[in-house]
Amino acid sequence: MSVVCLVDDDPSVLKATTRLLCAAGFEVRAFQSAAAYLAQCDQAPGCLVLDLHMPGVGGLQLQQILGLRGDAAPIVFLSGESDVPPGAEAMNGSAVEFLLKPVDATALIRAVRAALGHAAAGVAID
Amino acid sequence: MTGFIVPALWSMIAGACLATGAIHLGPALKPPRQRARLAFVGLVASVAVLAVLQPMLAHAPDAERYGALRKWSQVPIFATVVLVVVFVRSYLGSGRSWLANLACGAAFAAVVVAFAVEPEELSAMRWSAMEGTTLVLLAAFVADAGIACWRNGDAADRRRAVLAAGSILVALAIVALDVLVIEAGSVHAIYLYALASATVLGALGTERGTRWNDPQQDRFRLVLEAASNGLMIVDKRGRVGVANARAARIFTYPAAELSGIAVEELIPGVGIGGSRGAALLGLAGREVMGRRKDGSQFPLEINVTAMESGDGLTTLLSVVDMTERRRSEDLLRRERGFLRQVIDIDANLIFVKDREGRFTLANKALADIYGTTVEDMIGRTDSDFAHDPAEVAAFRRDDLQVMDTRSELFIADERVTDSTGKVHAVQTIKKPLIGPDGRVDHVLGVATDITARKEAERELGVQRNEIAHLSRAMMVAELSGSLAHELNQPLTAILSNAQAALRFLERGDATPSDIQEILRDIVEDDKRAGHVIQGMRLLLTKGEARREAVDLNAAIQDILRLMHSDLIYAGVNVVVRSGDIPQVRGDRVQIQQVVMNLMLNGCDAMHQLPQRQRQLVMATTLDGDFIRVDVIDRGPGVAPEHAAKIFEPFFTTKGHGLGMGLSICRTIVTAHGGRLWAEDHEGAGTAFRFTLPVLSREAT
Repeated sequence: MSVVCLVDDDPSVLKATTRLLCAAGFEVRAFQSAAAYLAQCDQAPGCLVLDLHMPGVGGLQLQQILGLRGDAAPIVFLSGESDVPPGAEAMNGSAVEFLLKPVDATALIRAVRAALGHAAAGVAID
Repeated sequence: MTGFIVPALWSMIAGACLATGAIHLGPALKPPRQRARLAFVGLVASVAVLAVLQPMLAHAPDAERYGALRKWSQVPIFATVVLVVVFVRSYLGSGRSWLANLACGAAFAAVVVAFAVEPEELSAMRWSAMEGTTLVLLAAFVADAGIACWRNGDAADRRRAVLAAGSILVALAIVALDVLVIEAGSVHAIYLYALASATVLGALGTERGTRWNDPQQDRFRLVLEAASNGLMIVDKRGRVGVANARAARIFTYPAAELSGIAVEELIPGVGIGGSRGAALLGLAGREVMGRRKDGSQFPLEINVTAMESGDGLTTLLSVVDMTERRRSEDLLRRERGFLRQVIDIDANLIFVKDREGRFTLANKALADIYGTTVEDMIGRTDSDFAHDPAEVAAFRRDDLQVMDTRSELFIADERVTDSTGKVHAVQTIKKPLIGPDGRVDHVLGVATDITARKEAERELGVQRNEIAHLSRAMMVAELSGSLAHELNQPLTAILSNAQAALRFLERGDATPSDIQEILRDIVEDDKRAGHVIQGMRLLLTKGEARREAVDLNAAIQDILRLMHSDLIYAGVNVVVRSGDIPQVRGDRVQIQQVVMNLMLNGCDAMHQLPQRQRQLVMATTLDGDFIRVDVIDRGPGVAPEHAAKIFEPFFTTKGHGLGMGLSICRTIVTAHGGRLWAEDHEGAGTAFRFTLPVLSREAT
């Protein structure tokens, strides 16, 4: 099973989300900022769950950086705002899902599964 | 020989006498009157007449002519006797009246006899007997007067006694010798008499330093002139006798002219013209109209003292010209009236109270408050008018404090209930009034009615609170995005935690400690959400501005927490430099509003900058008696043409917003006793700075 990487600046949200995904049976690695993720994670995960707004480097910027690096992991964005920023979708062809906080467990688990499936499919195609 | 010498000698003697008289006549007539000198002049004149008559007697051709000359010569002899008496009495200030009267009587008897008898009997009369009697009596009078003066007087008086009495006695002795010689039939001896008389008189008349004034009269004169009042002695006929220079000045007469003037002339209409001096007594202490020489009238205060003297009842009038006093009284009255008007026109309450709390002065404004008149207040106390005993007690306590400490007292706010029951707020200054004896037994107070001002201030406070509330609501609206996010985070965590727990339980591999940990996290997040709600509620609370001790650093930290998400959205990095500062006094929420407003402005100002440059510095420093808060952005700065307007209401350069933010901030800071201003920050950005007074030690 592939690893799910979680980046959120809010420690309690990060902890709760990690716990939920663990309960759902995923292997989860949690990071409190984009910088921490970039520094500690050297191999592309099966799926990324990113908070859209973070101090310093936000979720969208991290997506851009990963795109530049050639990491094409599918991303699930979590956002407190309902309006989705334009141009955030389909970066480098990677699947993208936007979920609104507070996010329901079922929706999140389905999105992560889909993303992992997409990644697996993508690998299979290659 | 004698035929030539004798007439010449007589002429010389007569001339010398008259010349001496003339020399003394001038000064004698000048005021102050010198009675002795006048008598001396008369004496000299009568001796001169006798000096002319003597050779005529000596050369009388027949007994009939001799008798006639003898008869007429009794007149100058009588005059001489009287003048000697007058001279001695006034010059020496002594001499017995009865002796004087006897001497004068004898001389007068000779005159009577001389004119009563038949002419043919005149030559046969025994003149020497009559003349001798007169001579002896006169000599006795002079000797007695001289002795009395010698005994009672000082060295100068003794000298006068010897000189005057001695020379007159010598002259009288020579005359007596003459009389005896004539009686014996030798007419030539007569020259001795005239010569001696003239020499003695000459000695007296040319004596230097002769004091012509009666010493008694001298002293009297001194007393008279030293008096500050005008003094006049009025004789029984109602005529002025002696008067001092001041009296003359008062009635504008030359000093010499006042004597002899009827009092009726000087004080017209008093009906004392011909009446006895006693009638004047009725004027004692009265104020009458006096008349000056030019006829103008003036107010005159008059006092009368009866004086019993040899001439019957005379009166001493003491007069004071009241013109000046009247004028100053008038002036005083007018100034009083003016002052009265001034203090009555004043809207402030003005009063003076004595130590017993009685009003000695009150103005109309105060009388109006108490529903009475100014006149009615004088002499009465606050308790006679005030409704509230507590107010009276407070007034009394302050009054006594001012008088006891002798220092001014400022009462910023006290209550006075007026006669209609309306309560006035007044601001009062009370000052001790130091009397001429250095004691303080009066207090002066001026109270300003500040009821209307306080009402306006209260209204302003209400308005300010409303504005603050409005601005708060606006701020909350601006923050709502951030607040929603701040609430969303814990809600997200709670939901995820709860659902995770459910899944663990469903899977059946959850340990109780796992579940406990999850539940604990849920509780924490719930609390966190509660704090956000509480903070928002606090910002929205509508209420009176409070004055409490505020820790500025903590207040700023709270705001930073609330704005956390907003700052993340705005991509602004906040650097906080908290100084080691004491607390300030103020309304915590209002101060937070100011901080929040300035931070939001700073974020807006940096909107166009690349994200990495968006830095907002928050600093607190102690600056004298104030804490200064700096909010420094790196924005483009305030355009010079806007610098003056940014604090005006409804001024904005933003597309959104009402333009009330900075205006409200300044209102709040000013109401706290601080200052808010903006300045360029080192050419890169704007520093908004505001100050708040440090909570003073005694206020804590």
